[in-house]
Amino acid sequence: MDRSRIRNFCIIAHIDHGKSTLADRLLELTGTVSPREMTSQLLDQMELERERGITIKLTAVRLAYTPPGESEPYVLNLIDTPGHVDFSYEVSRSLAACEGALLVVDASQGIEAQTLANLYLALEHDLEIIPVINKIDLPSADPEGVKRQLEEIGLDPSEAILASAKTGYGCDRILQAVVERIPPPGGDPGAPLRALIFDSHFDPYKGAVAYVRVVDGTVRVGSKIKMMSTGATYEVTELGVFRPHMVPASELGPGEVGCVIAQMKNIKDTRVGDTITDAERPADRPLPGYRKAVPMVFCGLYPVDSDQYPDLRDALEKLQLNDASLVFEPETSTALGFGFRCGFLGLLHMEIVQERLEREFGLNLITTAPSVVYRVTRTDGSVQLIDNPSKYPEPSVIRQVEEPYVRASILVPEEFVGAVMELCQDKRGEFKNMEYLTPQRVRIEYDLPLAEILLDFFDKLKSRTKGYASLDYEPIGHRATDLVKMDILLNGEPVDALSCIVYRDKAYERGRQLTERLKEVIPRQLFEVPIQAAIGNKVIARETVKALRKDVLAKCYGGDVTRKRKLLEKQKEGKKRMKQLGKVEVPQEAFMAVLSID
Amino acid sequence: MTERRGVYVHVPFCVRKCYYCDFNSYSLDRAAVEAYLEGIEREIRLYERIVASEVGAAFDSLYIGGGTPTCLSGKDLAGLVRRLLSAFPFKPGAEVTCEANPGSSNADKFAAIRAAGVNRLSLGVQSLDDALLLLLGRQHTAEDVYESYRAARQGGFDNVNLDLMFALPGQTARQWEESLAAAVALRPEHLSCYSLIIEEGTPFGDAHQRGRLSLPDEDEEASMYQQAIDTLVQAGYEHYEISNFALPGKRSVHNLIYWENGEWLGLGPGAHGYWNGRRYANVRGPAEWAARLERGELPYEWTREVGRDEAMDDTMIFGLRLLEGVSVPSFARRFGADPREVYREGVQRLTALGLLEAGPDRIRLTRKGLPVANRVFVEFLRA
Repeated sequence: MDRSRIRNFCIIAHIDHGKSTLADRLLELTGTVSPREMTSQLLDQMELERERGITIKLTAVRLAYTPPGESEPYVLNLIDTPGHVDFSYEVSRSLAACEGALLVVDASQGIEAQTLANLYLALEHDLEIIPVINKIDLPSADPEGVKRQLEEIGLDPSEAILASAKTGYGCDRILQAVVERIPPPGGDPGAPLRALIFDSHFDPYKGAVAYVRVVDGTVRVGSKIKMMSTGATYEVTELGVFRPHMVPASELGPGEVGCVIAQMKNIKDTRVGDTITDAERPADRPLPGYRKAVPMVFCGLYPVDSDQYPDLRDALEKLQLNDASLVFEPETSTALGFGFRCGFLGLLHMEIVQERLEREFGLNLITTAPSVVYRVTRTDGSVQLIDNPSKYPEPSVIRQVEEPYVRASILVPEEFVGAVMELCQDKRGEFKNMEYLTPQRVRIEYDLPLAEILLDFFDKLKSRTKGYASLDYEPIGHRATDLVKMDILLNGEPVDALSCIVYRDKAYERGRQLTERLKEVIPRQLFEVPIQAAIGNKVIARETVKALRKDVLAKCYGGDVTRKRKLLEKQKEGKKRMKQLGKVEVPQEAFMAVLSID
Repeated sequence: MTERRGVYVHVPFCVRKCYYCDFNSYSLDRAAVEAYLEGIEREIRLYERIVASEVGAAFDSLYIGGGTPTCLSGKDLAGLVRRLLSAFPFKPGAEVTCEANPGSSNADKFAAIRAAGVNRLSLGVQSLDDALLLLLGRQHTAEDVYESYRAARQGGFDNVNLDLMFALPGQTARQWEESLAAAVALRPEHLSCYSLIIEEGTPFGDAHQRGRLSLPDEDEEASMYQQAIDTLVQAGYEHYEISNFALPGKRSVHNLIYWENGEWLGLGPGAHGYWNGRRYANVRGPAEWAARLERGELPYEWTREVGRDEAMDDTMIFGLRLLEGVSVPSFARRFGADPREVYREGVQRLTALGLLEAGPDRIRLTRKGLPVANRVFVEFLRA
């Protein structure tokens, strides 16, 4: 294929700024899908993504576009990128597969921190940026304001395209700009094959499918290929491009985007960021940037009904086929029995996995509160990584504890600067930097413990800034802090699954909040249930769930026995969803209570 | 089968629907009443044949419920009662109950149905506080209650039940105490005290969903319940079922049939029945019910066989509503199994919690188990 007629691009946008709608519109305008096939947000394939309106899986679609006055079509590869901070590594890989990016900004919301972070990533990859000011049909649209913002961040506002993905206004100009402004891909057709894996998924019939951007050389059906990170070799059985459904191809040359199927049995054989080369004529060096995904957040997943343990294991294995960043290993809890310690890229990733397990696999799960990975140095000098509070060592053997920190970058209108700084201070933040992007718009940087962000930082940030603040963060390693383990006792019995690691100075406050919250969540039982928070043997907070006083159907039903029975059955069902801890019945949400305290 | 048997007839009309009620009832008009009476006649004939084919079938109770049976004219209602009493083999001295609403009946109507064979009257009093009655959407005042009660006595009724409700929106312990005292002062033979249950699809249900109903909390409700027990027992009533109280010898035969898991025929739109091991429910809409009968069909919405396990569970769950509990020997006679064995685990757990007493003769709720009986019942519900 003639490389001069290929354009590879992606869309950078904040959640809700209209990326999916714009992608849909471009597909429609280029005739890639007929209006009949058009389902909203076509690129987001999974049901869950559609419901949440976010993109977590990247896909590449090939559009054929003939600009006005030309007769031959261009091949435009639109590479979709995830839009959440949990998936920033995947974003960087999809950016690496492109020469240009559409920077979509909501005309009334302006540039958000997330967008800015991804824009800087794109600039690092030398991408040509085409600013698109979207949603200009909204009454609150302020395109001039957005243009000023663009100028502040070093882009040429005169190049910005005003558009409304919803109405289609400006979308043809976007396509023309893609052809005119984004450079065609380079690469050496004669060099050994190098193709970047920017996404993968598992197909039950075809095995792991790698989505690639070919940089040098050509991959053909029948070629022997090698994964440069693992050295594993495979024979290519199928190649394809997406329009948007897969269409077979016999080869993919430099600059082309498509998928490689080679009877790879495991998703781990197709690691995002890895380079595929020719097994017989391998390249000297892989493409830069490969990094193994590192889980940042851990939690325990337990079946409410212990009989479902094997089902949970099978389900996690199946999900892992499609999600290389999900890790898990068996663990046991005195309170919850057999389950798994699972690692995730972030909280959203965790929620998505948990929801998929419940929805797609019909599992009834208890999720323990998420934990970060603590680095504990013992008095004997040995170092231990602790991702489960119940495994936290006795204080007497701890010489030092370190917890992971992140550099948080918060974009906020200037009137909320005070509120944001106050929140960050309260969350043990260390001020790093503040800069006025425009007279109204400020970027604040803080170093914060990741654990504080997991808790409720984002919700608080949103509520204190009336929803105007946006947040992006990246890990910056561990730092020594002063932490203690707090245990929770129900009816006098410690519940390991409710233990948490807290900052010593905040332990009393947290203990009080957590016991109060648990009191709200745990329903009345047939007896009084004391809830205590303790550090070591010292109880620091106590609440009591009063004994149940009335639970009886006192109504005449004219012999409608069936209905009475159904009500009891419903009650029994509800009981089944509870976890029996000793004599106490505890609902699932109690284990997440630590997240919902204020 | 030694269990008692009954007949229930549903009269699906009300002058107006109360705000809390989700029973099957419709507004009253002449054509609907005509169609209803024709339908009931057809349904009686179908069951007449079925019952006649069963040797030795005999009934202990007839219960006319609603709706508001006394919406019907004295003549229609008396005619219906006579027809039912002649259609089915009732035992001599069988209990014949009719529900009545204060305000919808007078001494003449009472006398007419008394003469037709009704020997027990159940008055839907609900409250003796005018403000609460208004709030409930009832069609009567406290004064109407006293008047109806006098009329019932004048009409010859010597066995009268009063239905009362508690845990009403805004109701105070004081108001409940006054209603109880006023009811006791009338000296009815029987009293039923039900807590208000909020049902979806009723005006109360809607208001509750919008957070507009200020209901007594669990502790207040529990206290009101205890208050009822204390007051009525003190006044000489036997507390024989979770919500029911009677002077000695005046327990409701008909309700005992339900609680002892006995069988009964249910007639009328939406009526439920349990006959020869099968439960059934009639279609709720009077028009469809009548149409089905016109075609000569039994107007079931559904019917299903009750298996042995389910029958055992029901016997426990409903039997435990009675304060005397479930008789171990009769359970054993009926099912050939000892309930303490069948439900061993649950019985042990509940006994340990002090909610249940399981002796060789009877299994029953303790005083502690009574207000939380649902927690006990679920242990007798097998998958």
